[in-house]
Amino acid sequence: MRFSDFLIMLALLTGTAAAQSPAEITEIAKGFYSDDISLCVFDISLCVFDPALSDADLAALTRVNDGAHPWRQVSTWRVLHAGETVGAVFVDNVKGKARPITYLVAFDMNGEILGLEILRYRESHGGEIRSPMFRGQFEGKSYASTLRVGKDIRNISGATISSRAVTRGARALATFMHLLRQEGRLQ
Amino acid sequence: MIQLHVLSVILLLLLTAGFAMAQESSTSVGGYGELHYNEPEGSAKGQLDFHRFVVYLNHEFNDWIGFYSETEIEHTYVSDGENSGELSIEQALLEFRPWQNYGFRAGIMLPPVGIINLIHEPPTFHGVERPNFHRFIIPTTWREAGIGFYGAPLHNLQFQVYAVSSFTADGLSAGSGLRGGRQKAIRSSTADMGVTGRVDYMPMLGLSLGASFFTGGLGHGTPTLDNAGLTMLAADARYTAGRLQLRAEGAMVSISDAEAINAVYDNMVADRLNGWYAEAAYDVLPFFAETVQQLFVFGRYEMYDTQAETTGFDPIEAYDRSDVTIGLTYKPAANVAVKLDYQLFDDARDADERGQLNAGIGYAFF
Repeated sequence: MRFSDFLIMLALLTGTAAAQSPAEITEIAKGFYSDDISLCVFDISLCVFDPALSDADLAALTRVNDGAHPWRQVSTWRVLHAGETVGAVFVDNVKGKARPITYLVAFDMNGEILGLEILRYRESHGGEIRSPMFRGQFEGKSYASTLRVGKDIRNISGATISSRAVTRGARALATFMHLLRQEGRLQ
Repeated sequence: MIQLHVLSVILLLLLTAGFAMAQESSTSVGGYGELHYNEPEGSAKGQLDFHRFVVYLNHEFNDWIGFYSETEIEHTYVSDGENSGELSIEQALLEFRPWQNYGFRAGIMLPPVGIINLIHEPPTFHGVERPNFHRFIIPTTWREAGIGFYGAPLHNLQFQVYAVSSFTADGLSAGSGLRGGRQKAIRSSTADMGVTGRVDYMPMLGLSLGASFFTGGLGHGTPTLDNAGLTMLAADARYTAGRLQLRAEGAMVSISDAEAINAVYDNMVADRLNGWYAEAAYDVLPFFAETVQQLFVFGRYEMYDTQAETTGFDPIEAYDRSDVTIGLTYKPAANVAVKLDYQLFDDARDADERGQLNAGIGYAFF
């Protein structure tokens, strides 16, 4: 193999998901809060290996993830309005059938979901989860909700894997939000 | 020199594996499988068969190019004996998605006709065996090499359209319909290509409607079969509301110049095949326990006729068939299904119905 082939291979293999631009996130968040909000990067990591999270938190997260390994890196923003924190916006990836689905969830200070948006959908089937009919179901849901497909979230036939993946993600983020509020880290 | 080549391939594979692990999310595996027990009425003992064992191997090259594959072993192993199973590549394709809502695919793919050819993981359908409609009218699992375009012009409207290899006339048959005519992407003839496509529409949450088609020539250069061709039209609907699931599908296959095909191959091919089924399922577990598990009671009625219209000979009544299936699907987890059902097979002859008991387990993971 020539070295140039190797470099091409390397380039192909190391391609990573495009980052979401802050402008795009801000525009979407405005729809859920108001036009005069601003976002600032949250100065805590929500990675569950964060040493600040207790064993009980970890157990809670493992539980909401159905026992699956809960590691993931979540991008987080504090939402500011007139100098006050009015909510939090999370951008996360969940795995669909084969590829990641990038989505955003906006919470108010009570931990309730103001809205869920699909930022990038990469699979060839199942894109119906981008429909407002599906996403609207998450409004008002929180840590206290069941947040399960077939229970309080209605399934989309033909997009079951994607429906479940995003619902599982929203359930985990609602738990993150709950923990942040409980520990007073949003103030 | 050959050794060097092999070495470099091995090195490449190792590097690929290394980077895949380092990247964590760029390569993913998954799969599904199903173990079946079938006991026809009157037989003393039934048969156990690990019908399908499928492995998915997928890779993301970057944010817009992905590889997707399914490799299948049917009936556990492959030998050159009579009882051999089958090892096959069900899907192997590259997806290019340069735009947010539109993309291309090329490779071995599943023509998107009907529901189950495309979405066939055992926990996604009721009954141990796939509906016979999906065996005799739409010949699942149906795979061909092809290339095409897909997209979502609206949030609730998606389409896909592909050029794929067409069926061959010599493989069509009176009783099994199109199954033997599939080329399966093995040195497929491209003398007659086919076009297939599907539109998915979600008018409201819980209701999904689909329309799909395939059309292609059959002759592949055989002199008298220039006009031989096949067109398949299908429609499907799925509805879920709470614990209720409803689904219905229908399809019609028209074969042009069947007379000429029969003159060449003497295989009693019909001018028209058609079939449909309707199915209802209800999750009864909440009556007994508050749980995320599900227990569906379901019933399905299907009719399928591989000789609905013929020219030059009378249709064989035994091929005008109908099945009733009733059973249970227990899902202790969303992607694990334990199934039990009873089927009654009937046809247009006066003979008695035949029964069959089926039990099975199935799983899928992604």
